[in-house]
Amino acid sequence: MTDTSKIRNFSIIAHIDHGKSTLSDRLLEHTGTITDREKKDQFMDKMELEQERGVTIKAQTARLTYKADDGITYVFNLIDTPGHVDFSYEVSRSLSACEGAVLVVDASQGVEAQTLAHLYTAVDVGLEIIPVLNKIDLPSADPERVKEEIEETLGLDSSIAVEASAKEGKGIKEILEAVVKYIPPPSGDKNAPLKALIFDSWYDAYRGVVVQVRVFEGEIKKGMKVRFMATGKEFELDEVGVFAPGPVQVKSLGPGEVGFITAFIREVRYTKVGDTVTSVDNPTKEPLSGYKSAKPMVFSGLYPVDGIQYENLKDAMVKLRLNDSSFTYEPETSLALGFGFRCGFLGLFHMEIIQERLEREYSLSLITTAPTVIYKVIKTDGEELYVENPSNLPDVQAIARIEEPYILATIHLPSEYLGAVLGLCEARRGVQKDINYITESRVLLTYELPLNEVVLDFYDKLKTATKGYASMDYEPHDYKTGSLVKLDILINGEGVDALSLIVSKEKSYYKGREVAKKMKEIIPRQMFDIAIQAAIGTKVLARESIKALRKNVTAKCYGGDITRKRKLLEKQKEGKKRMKQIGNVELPQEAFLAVLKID
Amino acid sequence: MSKCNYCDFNSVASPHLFLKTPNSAPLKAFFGKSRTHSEDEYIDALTLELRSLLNNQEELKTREVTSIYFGGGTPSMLLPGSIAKIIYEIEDTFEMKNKEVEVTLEANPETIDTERLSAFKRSGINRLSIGVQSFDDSVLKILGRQHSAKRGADSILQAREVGFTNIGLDLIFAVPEQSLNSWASSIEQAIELNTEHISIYGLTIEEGTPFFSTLSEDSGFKLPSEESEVLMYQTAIKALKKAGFNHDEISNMSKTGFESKHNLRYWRGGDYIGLGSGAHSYLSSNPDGEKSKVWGRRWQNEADIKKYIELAKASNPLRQKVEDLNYDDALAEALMLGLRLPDGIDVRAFSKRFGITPELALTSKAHAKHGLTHTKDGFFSLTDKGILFSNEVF
Repeated sequence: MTDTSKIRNFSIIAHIDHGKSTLSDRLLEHTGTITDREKKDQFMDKMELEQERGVTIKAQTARLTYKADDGITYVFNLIDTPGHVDFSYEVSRSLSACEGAVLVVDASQGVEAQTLAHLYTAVDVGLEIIPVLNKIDLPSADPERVKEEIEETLGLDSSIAVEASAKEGKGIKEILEAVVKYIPPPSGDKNAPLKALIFDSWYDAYRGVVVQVRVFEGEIKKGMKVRFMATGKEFELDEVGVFAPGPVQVKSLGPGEVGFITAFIREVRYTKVGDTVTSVDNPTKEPLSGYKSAKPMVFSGLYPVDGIQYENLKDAMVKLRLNDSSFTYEPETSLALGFGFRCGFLGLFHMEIIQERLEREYSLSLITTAPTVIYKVIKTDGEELYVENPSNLPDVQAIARIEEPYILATIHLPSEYLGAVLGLCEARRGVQKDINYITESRVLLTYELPLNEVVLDFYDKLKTATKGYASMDYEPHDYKTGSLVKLDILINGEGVDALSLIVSKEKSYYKGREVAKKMKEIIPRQMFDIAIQAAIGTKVLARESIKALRKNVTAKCYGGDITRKRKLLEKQKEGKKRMKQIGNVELPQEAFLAVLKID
Repeated sequence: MSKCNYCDFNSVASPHLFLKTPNSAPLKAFFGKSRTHSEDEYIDALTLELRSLLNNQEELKTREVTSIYFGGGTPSMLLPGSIAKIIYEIEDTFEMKNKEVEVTLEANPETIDTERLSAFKRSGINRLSIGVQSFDDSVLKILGRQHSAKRGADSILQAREVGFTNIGLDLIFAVPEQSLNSWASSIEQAIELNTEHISIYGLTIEEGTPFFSTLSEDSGFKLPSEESEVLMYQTAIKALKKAGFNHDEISNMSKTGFESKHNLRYWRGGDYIGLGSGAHSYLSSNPDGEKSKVWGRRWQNEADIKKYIELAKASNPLRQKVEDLNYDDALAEALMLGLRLPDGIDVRAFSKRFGITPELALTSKAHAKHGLTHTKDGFFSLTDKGILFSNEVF
């Protein structure tokens, strides 16, 4: 157990592109925690998918020991935070495990919304902030201007700011010294009943769930019986350890210490982020504050292209959920797609990650239906329903009104793009709440937006409208009555339930027309004419037709190169395998997400 | 070395030999010509390849050549003496008991005249396949051909004059700006010229060919619609049948007794050996003996002429892409090739070989639903509609 005065717990807050991972690596290297040989580019980003997308999905911590200029050796716990807007609750819990944070600001670009959102969270949980001006080596770096921005807009003391270049390894020692100097040591009573915060957990095939904890009071030891207060589950601890950065067992973790515990726990849903761990024999009365059960906000259907893969999909979801309890699934049946699952995700990004992992890690070929949100339907008889699948909407006559979820979005952008972003927000039925010029050239917008308009492709559109310079954070707001209708898509006269959408009435004509048009582009011509219709009830809003193929023949011999011709045919067949047969018509996977592709 | 204008084959002429075993089977050879290498060098390399064949593959000694095809480029640019040399070398290497061996030369109209044709005939060529392509000068111009419609017709008359009794010509449809009238008139003229064999190819423009780039650069050329393409194909088949031609294969029509034996071997899954740079070969017999699970072997020679010549001189292996077929490959090929023939696939023979009927072996079930296939007298084949949608069936 380490003397609390020698402990420093901190996170790095950075915009995705701002080289958080590079800085983490430099800190690990400088303190000798990892050597060049050990690091696989960026140690902290461990999942393959994370490395590809360049963002952190699961938090990872590391214990560093640092001999400071005052001659004392300190123990640093560097706690990583997820980097995407879908995971803001997880971020708040990771930050709660710290006393301070290093705020990485790009010395040329200045403060970005993503950093801002995390920074506000950090300030909310009472962390001490050390600003670091990164990429100081770039010719475009303007540290004085950015310092001014930090003072004025963030209200932080920029006199303690460190100038650094993580890429070049400049300013690393200065950052470590600043951590010792400005971040307060943790406090806590070793003899009090155990109180430890769960800020991350994942499933490990050999140990069961590995739970990352920060101890606030008391002591956690191997063999101890603990209780997870929110889920009420009790376990006898098998291992207590720290990541340095590989797992190392320790005798105990005391106040202020950060580490992991294992107890052959079979599922991560018992180990909820934000929950409090206490001792069964000497339990604390009050859990730590701030626990929330992470609720999925975006739903979509996941179906195997080939019905035979249903069981495989089910197994894959069970396994994935071992590691990610924020993702939910329930069996559902679609007339068009057969057996599948209605899945809940934290956001669209989370949905893409899950879908990609299922396809890649479990070799599945999946159809994802258009993402939707949970609508509250108040029926004429007063009954209230929550509907997360458009095809489950009751008959129009039975609906008194539909309410839809809203979010409060904070968008940070260079002022030159203000017009474009306002236009986008208005087009998405947004209600402006605040518009704030942080500096002459930077604007902070606050909008109430229907989640339904955001889940589809708002984030992409925002990026496009601002050449990637805007960033956004959001939190759930409330439910509001909306003028909403169910838009059905008919293929050759037959409604396809999996293609139904709930849209705002004023936009239904436009959406219907655009979806039908997009479908026409996506669906390949087949041996017969295909009619695509968009309709509300029995009223047809739009109609497109795909003319029948008149021939599909290769009247050619290729001079004995049979292999080439066979390969061409094989390719054609592969393409067909990924299509879903709806009636006579073969629909490619993209057809089910056509609504995401309209402008 | 340059690319063929239309497909992505190199403009190298190569002979294919069809080999015949005691149980039947064939061989085929390719020839080449390039600006950077003398014809002699290339012919020498071909000769070396031919001689090395039997050293590397004992089993081929028992084979008999049933047809020779000089194709894959413009072999009619070669000196007749070179052709003669290759035929001589083939006769020297393989059994050619059968006097009826079909020896075809692919010829472009601009490369032949009475004198050269006569010399080719003396070299041992007994069948010509003349790349007429169209009897409409404007179509020939768009195709970038160097000959005129008149030269095309004259070359056939000259071939007759020097005594060729087995002549084929090919025609291309679905050419940009080509009208149905122009096409129908080309067909009429071909019929009047009274050749034994006519091939009709739909122009497919493939990426990576000069023709593809010409068309994509907003040339203003209008591709015929799919409807007119289908109409052109149907018009040709109808007119040729009326004129007494049989439908041998999707793109090939011939007078009785004059089908291209060589081409039919491809569709029937026969063995062939391609000689020369870039040439393809196929042996259906088990290359590694009875116990191996290989269902046939295909390979392609080094495609770069310069490298090909160097490899041949140094007695190094010429085969670059060797592919052993497994059961699934062999099955897919048998379907794809067999269904190109109007008679189709012999259901009993197919079932015996693969343990499944051709109908059940098709992975796409569209054929049954849309009337693309039928079974008649023990043969499984495409219907007229099925021919147009053959890629949906295979």
